[in-house]
Amino acid sequence: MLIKKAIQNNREAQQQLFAKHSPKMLGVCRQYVKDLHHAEDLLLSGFLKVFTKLSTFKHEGSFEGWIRRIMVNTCISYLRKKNLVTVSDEDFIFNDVATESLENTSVTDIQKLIDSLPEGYKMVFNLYAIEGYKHSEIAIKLGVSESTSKTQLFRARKLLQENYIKMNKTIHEKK
Amino acid sequence: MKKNNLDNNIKEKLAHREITPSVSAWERLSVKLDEKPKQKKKGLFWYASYAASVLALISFGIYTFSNDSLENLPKKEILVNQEIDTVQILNNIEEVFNEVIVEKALVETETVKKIKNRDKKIIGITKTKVIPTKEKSIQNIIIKNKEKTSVIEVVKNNLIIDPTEEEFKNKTFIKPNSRIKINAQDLLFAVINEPKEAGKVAVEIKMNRADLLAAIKTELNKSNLKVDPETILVAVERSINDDFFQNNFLKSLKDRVTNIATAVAIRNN
Repeated sequence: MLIKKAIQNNREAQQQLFAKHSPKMLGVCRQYVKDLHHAEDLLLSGFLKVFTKLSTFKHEGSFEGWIRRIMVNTCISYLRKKNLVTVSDEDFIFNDVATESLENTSVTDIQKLIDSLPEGYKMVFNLYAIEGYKHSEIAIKLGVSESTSKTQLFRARKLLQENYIKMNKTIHEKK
Repeated sequence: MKKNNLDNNIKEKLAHREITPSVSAWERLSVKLDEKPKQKKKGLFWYASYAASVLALISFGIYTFSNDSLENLPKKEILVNQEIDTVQILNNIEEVFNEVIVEKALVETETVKKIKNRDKKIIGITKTKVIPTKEKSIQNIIIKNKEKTSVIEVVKNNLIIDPTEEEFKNKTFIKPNSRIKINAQDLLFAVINEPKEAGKVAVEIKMNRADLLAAIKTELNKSNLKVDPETILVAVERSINDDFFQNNFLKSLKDRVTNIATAVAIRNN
């Protein structure tokens, strides 16, 4: 019902939808952009698309998933336009990175780890690890080869690991 | 590549993360949502204006084109109604006729007669130069020539002349722009000489008759006049001295050509 009203440009319905989904979607945008205000700008432009294209929603999947995809695409297109994504094609030997458990790590620290990644790495990692896109889909979205997407993901993981170790060290030293 | 623990851990941690937007976030979005339809309306207005301008241009083009076509039609009508063409034709025809008459008369003949005695010494030279104008009739020419013939006869009577050694060098100059080319030499001999001698000349004229006919035919073709050249030549031969004939004949011919020209103009229109 809310969606139908929102399609008819009912401002109250739109506001209710925004209030319901915006916190989670701002979290999604925050994955891609360090600055929260910047992330909010992307959130608003994403919601503008959501409300203008609401009539194209086919109710096949979840509404949240539909909005999330729009948010991710908004962030990617913005970063690509600003040439913030520099994904280089380099050969890399894939080795499974030894991982440590992040269960005790706070969300803020995890976000800090993600923020520490270069834009290209961060993009691929977010799309693959969190959004669940395949490498072939990421390659199309970012306009790179599939192997590049894989390479970027591996480097992102490695860097996250290294940064996590550094983070723990500093925490222990402070203690 | 299989998802490793790192990916899963991060995903789980971030999956339920919520960041509350600023208070002003909805207001900003609301303003953007209000602007969007206005922009659409503006866009529609602009599209409409573009369409209107294009239509205006097309209609203007059609109008001007149709005007041009309408302007062209009266021009054609003017061309049709204008009797300038006929007048022009009449003038041209008149010029042609005048030219014919003048050129008929303007047959320039220079006859040089050298009379030599037995010692091949030149005793007497008689030069005859006849340049009759339009006003001068052929009869006048005959008179002139007859006078000159008498001079020759006087010379004949006074001197012993061997006819075999008598040489006549006649130079005939015919204007190159003559419409009807009549051999002036033949004409002169026909007029000047005695009937006995004229017989010889007559033979010569007959011999040249084919050439004369051909000449008349070519000239008539140039003038685009379909008239039997034989008729003209016969008429000229029969009434060569008749001034009235020339006037009547040419007048009738002129009228006929005018009628033809008018008929052709009407048909074209």
